Amino acid sequence: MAQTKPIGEGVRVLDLGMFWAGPTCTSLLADAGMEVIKIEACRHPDPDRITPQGLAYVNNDPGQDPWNRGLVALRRHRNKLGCTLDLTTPEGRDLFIKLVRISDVVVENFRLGVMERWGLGYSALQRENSQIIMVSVSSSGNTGPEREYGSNAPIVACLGGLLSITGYTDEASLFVDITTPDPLAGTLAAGLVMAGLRYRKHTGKGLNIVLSQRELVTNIIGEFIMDYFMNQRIAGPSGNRHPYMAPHGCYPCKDEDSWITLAIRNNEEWLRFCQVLGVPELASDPRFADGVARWHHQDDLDSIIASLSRSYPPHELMGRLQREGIAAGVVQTARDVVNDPHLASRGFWETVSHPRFGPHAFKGRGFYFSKSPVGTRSPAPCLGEHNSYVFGELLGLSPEEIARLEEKAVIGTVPSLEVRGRIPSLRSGVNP
Amino acid sequence: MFYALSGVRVLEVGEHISAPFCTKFLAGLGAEVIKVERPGQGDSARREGPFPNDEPHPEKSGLFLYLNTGKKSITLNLEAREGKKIFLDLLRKADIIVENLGAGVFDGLGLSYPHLERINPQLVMTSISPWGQTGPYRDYQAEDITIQAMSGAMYQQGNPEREPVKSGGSISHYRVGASAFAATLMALHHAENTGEGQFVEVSSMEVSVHDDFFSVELYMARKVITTRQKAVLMLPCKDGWVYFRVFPHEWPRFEKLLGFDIEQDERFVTMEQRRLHAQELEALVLPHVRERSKEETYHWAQAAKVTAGYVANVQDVVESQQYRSRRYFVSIDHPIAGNLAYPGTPVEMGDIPWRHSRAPLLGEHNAQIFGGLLRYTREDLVRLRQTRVI
Repeated sequence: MAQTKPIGEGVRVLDLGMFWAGPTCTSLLADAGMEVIKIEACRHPDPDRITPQGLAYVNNDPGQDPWNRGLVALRRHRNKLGCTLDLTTPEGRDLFIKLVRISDVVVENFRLGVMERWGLGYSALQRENSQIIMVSVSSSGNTGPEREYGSNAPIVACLGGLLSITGYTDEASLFVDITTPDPLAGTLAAGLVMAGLRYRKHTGKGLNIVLSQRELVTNIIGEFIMDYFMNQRIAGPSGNRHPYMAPHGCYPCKDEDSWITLAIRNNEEWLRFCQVLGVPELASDPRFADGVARWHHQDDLDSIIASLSRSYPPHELMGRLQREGIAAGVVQTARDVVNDPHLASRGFWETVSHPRFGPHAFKGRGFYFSKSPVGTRSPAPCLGEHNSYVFGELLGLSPEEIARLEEKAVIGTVPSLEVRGRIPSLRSGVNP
Repeated sequence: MFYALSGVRVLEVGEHISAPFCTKFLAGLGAEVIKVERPGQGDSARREGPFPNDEPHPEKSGLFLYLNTGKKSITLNLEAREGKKIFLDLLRKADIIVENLGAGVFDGLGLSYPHLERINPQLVMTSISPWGQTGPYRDYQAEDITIQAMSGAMYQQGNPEREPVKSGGSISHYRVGASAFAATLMALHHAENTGEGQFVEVSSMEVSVHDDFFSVELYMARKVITTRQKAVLMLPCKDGWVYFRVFPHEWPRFEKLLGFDIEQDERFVTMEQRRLHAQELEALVLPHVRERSKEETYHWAQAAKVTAGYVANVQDVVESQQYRSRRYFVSIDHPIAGNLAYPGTPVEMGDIPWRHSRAPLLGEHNAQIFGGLLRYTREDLVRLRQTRVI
């Protein structure tokens, strides 16, 4: 039987995404087989190229071209093609418009107003290609007094209400949730692209899709908003506790800074828990007789459990409890995650062989199709790697015309001097 | 009006948050979503609050009402033979199933994908589970906190001197629902283009690992473990907290706003330096915010294109001028829960409206679906009800 074709085959996406949310959306589309062309300018490459997240370079080596070697960018941009184009120049804008004419989708997550300033707002793009689908992963939506305000993941976690319900009950939250909004918004946006393509197929019309990341954060705490509307209750942080489960928390284990979480849902689980830990007397303690009693004596309960959990290495305790059907989970570190036997056995890690940097394992995405391939076909592009494909093959420019664009710095394969000056490993003055 | 998902029929055999969140978006985009609930009790979210005045009622759960807008509800006992038969009849007329009953549960009911596919070759079946359908932890239990812990996110969050702390609410369930949404629509695209349906497997733990920032890459590159750290520039205002998370290119503007030379100051040149000298930096910024309210500070910074935000509680969110002017909150009437405001949609699909109709009562659409769609007679329905199939 013929191999099932990739889901997104035949769909071309122009990816103007920067940092996290936009590139996450397009990485999922690229994984599903769409032709995603990442477009950056040598004066404005994806900021992750300039200061790679965590300064994590492939093989721990920034080399002479650190902008191509950040591990997070190598993951987020895999399966994409990469070209450079300075959209602030007339030639750059003109070439982008030509690309729009032969593409299906544009994804961007600039601050609102940037695309308009370049004359590349939705109505301008639609004039060139009436069927174009443009997805803007915006901060606060494209209307309203704060529409042009900037944001990043922790800021929308603050503004959307998530941080107000996150943290300890007895001290202010002097930390932020950095992981929630961006990848969530990017993932949702990938679904919206698919919905937009379906709309286009049935109506022949393009669509301007705008996602507000801030509102999306509010959507994932919807029950707390409902509680406010129903009961005027303003939720605060509840630490690791739960509205009705008890025990429900995070407890110390044997090794330094090692922890386990527990969520016990009913009396049967509680009895089994007491059995596993060898403390039958707790099971008959009237303070902990049922869910309501346990919930009301959580301080006592938590300190008793903490004194017991300290005797165990976390993964051992998790195994013992899970074998008895109890939702126990180790607070895993990045090292634990990388070495996690479950992830390994499921094929979560995808090895990409880069012609210059060799093979490297990257995170998967958490979903799989039984027939369509989804996964890594090609490594992330170096800056401007596919310029000749994009401008030559797709747009029909001659090698001379491409060389001229390079001379005028409309395209290129090296960040501008000013940008290189901001790259940590090059700051010592070493320029390639 | 053609909605993006007009003509798509979805069966949701979902509990609690993840599957319902996924199908809430499908319904908002115009799909016909039929919730298949257990006779008598229904979706477990119906028993979880918040409830008006904290009085439990299966038709008044805020969680349920919010997550199930735009859907229909039927009741069906999938463990009974006749229930299965009806489900298969329904399946012939459906495009998508989204379920989160747990790894292997559908197989155990005799409703595995290979079997269903024979009946409807175009069917997309999305199974959401905490750990996935394979692997050593497949049958392990999980709540939201378990996933936040195991995925590596929780270890990085909180006070470095204390225990890690999870994000509030049940965000891992929402996360995996969003991934299921994207994956389901990818598979639908394929099915409609090629006539070929498929099984879509979504693992909550893996989605949360995917969604982590950079701790995995940092460990792989440098064997450094990302741990909990205090946020730099989370500062107290007159009435709450404000957080400055300034992009590197914004530092010159920030400097100008504060009226001093941060950028030329060796202590604050890079992100790492700013973290090392966090206390000094905060001491310099604090006088500018202490006397302002959190919202004033936010507008003051943003007007200068410096990225900052305030820690908004649910009341702040509801009262926010931005949300109000966008009419984000929508008012929805419900025969039992009454008229309430709900969080609306974060999505604008051009001029196409979002479908926000109220959540269904338990089994509200039994007659419409079993009688209308599947052509069961009134006598059949009475019998099915008596035998507790529906």
